Amino acid sequence: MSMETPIGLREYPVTKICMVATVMVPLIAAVTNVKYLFLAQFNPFIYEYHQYYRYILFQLGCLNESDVILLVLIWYNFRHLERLFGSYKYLNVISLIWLYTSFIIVLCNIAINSFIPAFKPGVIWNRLPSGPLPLVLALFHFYKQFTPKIYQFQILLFAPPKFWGKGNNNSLEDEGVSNRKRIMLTLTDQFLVDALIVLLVLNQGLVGIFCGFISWVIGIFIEKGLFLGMDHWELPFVDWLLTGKKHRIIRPNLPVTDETALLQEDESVDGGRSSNSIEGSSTGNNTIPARNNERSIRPETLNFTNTNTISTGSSDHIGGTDDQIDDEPVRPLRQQFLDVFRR
Amino acid sequence: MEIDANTLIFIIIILFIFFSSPDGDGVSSEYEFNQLEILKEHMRMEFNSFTNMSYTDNFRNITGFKLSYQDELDKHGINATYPIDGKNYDNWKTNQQYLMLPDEVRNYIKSDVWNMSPVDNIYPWNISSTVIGNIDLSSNHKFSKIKMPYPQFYEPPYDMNDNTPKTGDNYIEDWSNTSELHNVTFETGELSIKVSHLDDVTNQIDSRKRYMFNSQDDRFKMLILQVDFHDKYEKEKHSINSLAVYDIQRGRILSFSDSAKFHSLFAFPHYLTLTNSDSKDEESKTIYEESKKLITEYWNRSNFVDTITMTDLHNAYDDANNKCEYMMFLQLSPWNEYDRDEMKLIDKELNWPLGRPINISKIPPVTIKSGLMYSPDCGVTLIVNASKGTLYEIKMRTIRIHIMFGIVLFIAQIYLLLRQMQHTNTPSSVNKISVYTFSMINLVDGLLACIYFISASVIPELYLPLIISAFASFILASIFETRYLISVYASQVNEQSVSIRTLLSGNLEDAERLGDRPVIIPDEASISSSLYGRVFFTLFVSAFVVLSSLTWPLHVRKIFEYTSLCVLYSYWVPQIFRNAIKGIQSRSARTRNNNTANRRQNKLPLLWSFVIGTSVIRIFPIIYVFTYSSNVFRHHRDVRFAVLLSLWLAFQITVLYSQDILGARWFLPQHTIPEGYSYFKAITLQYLSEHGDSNSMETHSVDCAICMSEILLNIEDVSETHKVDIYSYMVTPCNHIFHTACLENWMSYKLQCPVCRAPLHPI
Repeated sequence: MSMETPIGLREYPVTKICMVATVMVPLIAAVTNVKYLFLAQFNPFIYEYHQYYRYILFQLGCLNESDVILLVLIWYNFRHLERLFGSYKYLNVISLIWLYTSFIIVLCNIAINSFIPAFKPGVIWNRLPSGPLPLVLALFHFYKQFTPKIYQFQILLFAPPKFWGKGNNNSLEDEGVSNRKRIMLTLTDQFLVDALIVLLVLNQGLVGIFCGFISWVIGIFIEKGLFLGMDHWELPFVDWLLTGKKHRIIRPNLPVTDETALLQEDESVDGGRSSNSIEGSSTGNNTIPARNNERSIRPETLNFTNTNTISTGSSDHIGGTDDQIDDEPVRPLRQQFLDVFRR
Repeated sequence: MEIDANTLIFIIIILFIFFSSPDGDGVSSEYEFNQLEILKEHMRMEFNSFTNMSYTDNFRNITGFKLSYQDELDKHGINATYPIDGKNYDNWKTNQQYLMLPDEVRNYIKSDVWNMSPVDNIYPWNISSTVIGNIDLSSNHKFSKIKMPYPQFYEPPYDMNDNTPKTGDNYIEDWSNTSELHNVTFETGELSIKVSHLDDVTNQIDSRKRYMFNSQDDRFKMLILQVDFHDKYEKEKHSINSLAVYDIQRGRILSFSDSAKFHSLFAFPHYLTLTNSDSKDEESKTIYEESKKLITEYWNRSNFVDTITMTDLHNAYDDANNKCEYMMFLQLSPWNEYDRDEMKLIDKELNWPLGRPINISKIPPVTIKSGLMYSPDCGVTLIVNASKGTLYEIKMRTIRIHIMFGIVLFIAQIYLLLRQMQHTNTPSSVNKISVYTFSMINLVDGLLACIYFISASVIPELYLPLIISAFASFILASIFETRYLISVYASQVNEQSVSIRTLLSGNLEDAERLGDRPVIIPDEASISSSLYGRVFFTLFVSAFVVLSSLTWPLHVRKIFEYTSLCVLYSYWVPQIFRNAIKGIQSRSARTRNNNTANRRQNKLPLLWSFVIGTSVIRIFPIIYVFTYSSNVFRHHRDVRFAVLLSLWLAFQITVLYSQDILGARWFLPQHTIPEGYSYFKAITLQYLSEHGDSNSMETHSVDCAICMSEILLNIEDVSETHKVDIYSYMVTPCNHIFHTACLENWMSYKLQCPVCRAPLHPI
């Protein structure tokens, strides 16, 4: 796997769904004034009103804005995981973690709240965290496990002491000792994610720390196989969910079978006017890796890779490798804008 | 005028002076200062008199309450100067000897209004709502009017040197009862009472910090009532802004208007105990003491005297001169289906929604069972019939849902418009679209954006959904629609100075006129700036007209509403005319014409999904407002108009469809349609000799100026060239020849001849 990650979120449909949902769900909830659905408190909602649906909903939406920002940034940094697992697997892992964390945290909540009052009346674990904090914390283990550290660096927290007392004869020796013992902070390239996670956990107070810890342990257990499902769990309708959108899923080494269908789509998008197009050489086989194909149908490359339908008809195969795509003339931004309005 | 930085600063300073008003209490002269000081002293004195008053005392020196109804009956036209000879100040009974109400009115209140038993009934705590109902005139000449003077210090100064306000009282002399100002002349009318709670007050002028003052929150509440009543045609309108006390245990609301001649704040305790005839009654004594405590708490907490401003003084003076004083006695219907705990839960959930287990849709409306309004100084009695209003919070929920639905409509409209823009992506196809159609659509959306923006600042509870709708409609109107308008307009600039007859023929100009016309066409930047200016100007003018129309009398408003709706919903009519002018062929002719090059150019300019979708999206709110009688806008029901408007729209769509099927000019008589210009024609040899180069006569071909390759021509006089398809090349009106593909491609960018820049008419 190359070090360079693809630009933007085009190749990360699941990450994109997660980021968009993290922003849109609280926003829509705020506009429709139903934000309280994501508020899970033992008393009064569970204990008194028996609103158990709150146990299911609490991870789906955030209650405050800072959580939203932190989570969006964290999801973005976790995109390596999607690249590692592939989109299908990533979605399945996320759903599995969601089930486990929700279930176990709820179980803990009920268990603790039925035990504690026996010893200390009036004390309960009332609030559950809001937003996908447990989910993200469990994924954080996966992130740490599978992302190699590229570099690390150290920060001296204090300047090294220099000649504390000039009159003192032992000053040189002292300096040597303190140099060895000086306080350092060692950071890796992942310190941004670490900091975001710490902020996220601290942002929700004790509950965040406690639930975060539980979920992190759950993450470890799932990864180690103590909690079953990592290998077999599959969500139904994932195909529909992911391929219903325009983005194709990265499935390495899988032949693409519906290429011709895609090509026909291309023609309908094509404006039908002849342009100074570069005719892509037809590759003739149907086993182009999906990613190449995916890149070749990007809307902005259409005008140049497609042939004129008037002159050549619809039977031509338009394929193209990365090399040919790179050969296409670069359109300045101005022209891109103009094309958008001309279309 | 050139506006440089200095001019700008000057304008800002002028505006600042113009808009800034005196701070704080608004005093701007010595006279006003003295006025305010006297008023404050006066109020303090009256408040002292109020605190010393007990349940068994009569009103003493309180403005507006110096005379009782019996005093007026005994000595007609008696002056209300304290103390009045022979008046018993140390006793209090609830009859006309002491009250300002005639015994008849007082008995009616006792028997018909405040007649609910205080036990077993439970009344809602939160009654903020707008109650709508009917009002009947009981009498407007039966009872004598009690004279109400106002202290003369309220009056404005007579000249600039006047520094000390006058003392003494002033009786309004021309207090005629024939005018609508001091009388109610209609028999029945419509009433709306906007009830809002006054739970917290500020204790300083210009302070934002609010303090709760009510320590008996579970028994009494202070309300602010905005009472409006008018006759059916809104010719005679009355509006009262008043304080009220709500007795929760008994479901009674007592409200007094307040002005310079009626300092009614001090009268609440006495009049709340109106129904009890026995003065030794314990219950009324409790009511008296508790309500007195409420008023005192309000007075102290709000720092009443120190927060009086000049505006209050002016308003009190104006109200005293222009309005009757009213006393309102209202009785609520109980909510006996709930117990006390449930009521508390409802109250909490409405204030702070958390999903408590309450069925909000089942919460009953605030209902005024019966009521009476009496004006002591105008002698008018009005009976309030049963009226209802949903709780404010619940109403906000409903409106929120409506707004969300509106947002969905906006998004659907944006989607349709984008598809339409995609469909007509060349100047030639855009040229067939009517500017007026989209201007009308744009105007409506822009107006909606304005209204949403304004209401977002007015209704803080709905700020978020309103601002999102405002954003959506603004994007739709000013970005997408105006953008589309610009491209439509730009493609039609060629035709501006051309008569419709010429346009019908499709011939842009005669040869000799070619020279007169400036060849340079204004570019899109200048078009867009002028168009944006025009769009925003129309928008602001019409927004102003629409907003001011809300205050017009009913029948004028109705006429305005109906005509403007009819005009704005004729948006397909300009497109029908445009189609006829451009002469789009019938569907059969279009399919017959299988030439690939020409097929695309002959398509209908508007997508059918756009036409149908836009019509449905736009007629839907109208149908809702006009047919659903309990709609949130309180718009009257008029099914006939909704049906007629829908039919009119359907008729327009039918005509559009008939143009699609039969050709755009089927309704025009044949002889009115001149022959159009055709780019596809055979060439004469003479033409070739005039325009071609040296060897074109032999090869029967010319060179295309675009692709530099040769064009085989179909020449009328040479029979062997007749095999050449005349659709393979195009002859412009300026007699230049190009390949069809080449010129069409060029024409999708600019409608100018590539060789001589003469305007080309769109295909």
